[in-house]
Amino acid sequence: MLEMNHVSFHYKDGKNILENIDLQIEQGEVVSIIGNNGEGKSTLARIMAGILKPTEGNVTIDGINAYEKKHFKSIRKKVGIVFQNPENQILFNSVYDDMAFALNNLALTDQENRIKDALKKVGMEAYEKENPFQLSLGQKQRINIASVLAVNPKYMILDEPTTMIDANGKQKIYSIMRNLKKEKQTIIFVTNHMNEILLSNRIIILKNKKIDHIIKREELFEKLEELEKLHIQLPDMIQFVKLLQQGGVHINLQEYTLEALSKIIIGKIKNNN
Amino acid sequence: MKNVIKFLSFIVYLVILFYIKELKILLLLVLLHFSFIYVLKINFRLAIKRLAWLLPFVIFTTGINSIISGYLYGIFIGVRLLAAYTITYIFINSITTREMADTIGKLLFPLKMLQVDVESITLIIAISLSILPIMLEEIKQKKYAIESKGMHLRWNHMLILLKPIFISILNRTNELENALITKGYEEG
Repeated sequence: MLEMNHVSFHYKDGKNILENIDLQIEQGEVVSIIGNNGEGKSTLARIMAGILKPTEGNVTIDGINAYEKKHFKSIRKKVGIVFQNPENQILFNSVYDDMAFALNNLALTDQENRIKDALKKVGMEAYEKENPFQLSLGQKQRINIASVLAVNPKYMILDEPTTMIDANGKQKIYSIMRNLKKEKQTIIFVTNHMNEILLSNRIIILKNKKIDHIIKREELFEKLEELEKLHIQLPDMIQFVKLLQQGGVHINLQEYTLEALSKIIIGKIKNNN
Repeated sequence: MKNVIKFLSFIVYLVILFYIKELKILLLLVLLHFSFIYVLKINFRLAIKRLAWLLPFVIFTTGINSIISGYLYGIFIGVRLLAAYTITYIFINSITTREMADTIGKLLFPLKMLQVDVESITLIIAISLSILPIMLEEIKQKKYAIESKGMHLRWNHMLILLKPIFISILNRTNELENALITKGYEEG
């Protein structure tokens, strides 16, 4: 379990970013963190990943303090993070060297197979010998995801992984996330794109430096009014279903996919005919 | 070890180039180097493009030496520079920045006895070599940003470019530090 206890963070000039955050994330969960710009989402992601120390409180990962120097390597093996800007995480001008760097530091064996398997998961196996700096932003981000997967951490944190990526690249990253979800990988992702929250089991809403709400995905329809009061724009699919329901068409959506929604609508049209 | 031998051989070859006295031999070597670039399928077009950047320096050096010691000597110096450029181009295309840094690290190995952190130096070299082209591109982008806001940059305006570049370098350094931590790098 990844646990945050009474975590607060402020800069040296006293500017408060986060206040009294308490959070537990179980293994196998997919959790999304949403909030307006400046609410501290990225700061929270970095604190969770153990690379930014909170000014108060502590973070433990499977019972280990995330900031004790003696546990540095253990923590790095347990939790990986992908930054928002794909350029910020690439160190070397060879995909293989860049991915092998973490494996060398953490003394992880069987490097070649780890790298090949990780690249295959993100669909970039043909780019092993390429210069990552010369790839597109979407490809760079997939390489960064592969670099984390090669270490095989228990917890994977994605800080707005699709923000700088084009539509095609976004779809590829969503596909990777869905596959990882099926493999029971624990994923915590920060997002500004409301449609992405449908990938998660739990949605954490940050507001005024605190956790304002935690909503389970199956509770989304019940909490629509609360979300609207928080000025959270609903995912397109939820908005569409809400409009249908307002028009008298009852939709009982179990799976938040276009396929599931279209099946229900087609079924209803056929029944009416 | 293979890369150390490659690097030392390259250095020795470069030194030998500067002891060759015959223009014909140097011309032959330049042709041979270009043939290697073509046969080894190293980016030939890029080699010519990069040579175009170097050409003003080669022409200047040839010119100065021609004035001082005669046109034959000037041409001799120019061809020697071309030979040095072409073999350097072949070498840098045969080794990655990481391998280059590791090679330098191995050669600096004796400094470990003086408690010098050779591994950190190796890492700095590797990352610097990789990041340098990106920083140059970022400088170009900052220049475009300033020009898009209506200022035509001249030499006496270059100080205006310094501040955003400096901030960019600091931000990049901060992010590099985070990237190193996430990839399990521990200092010392």
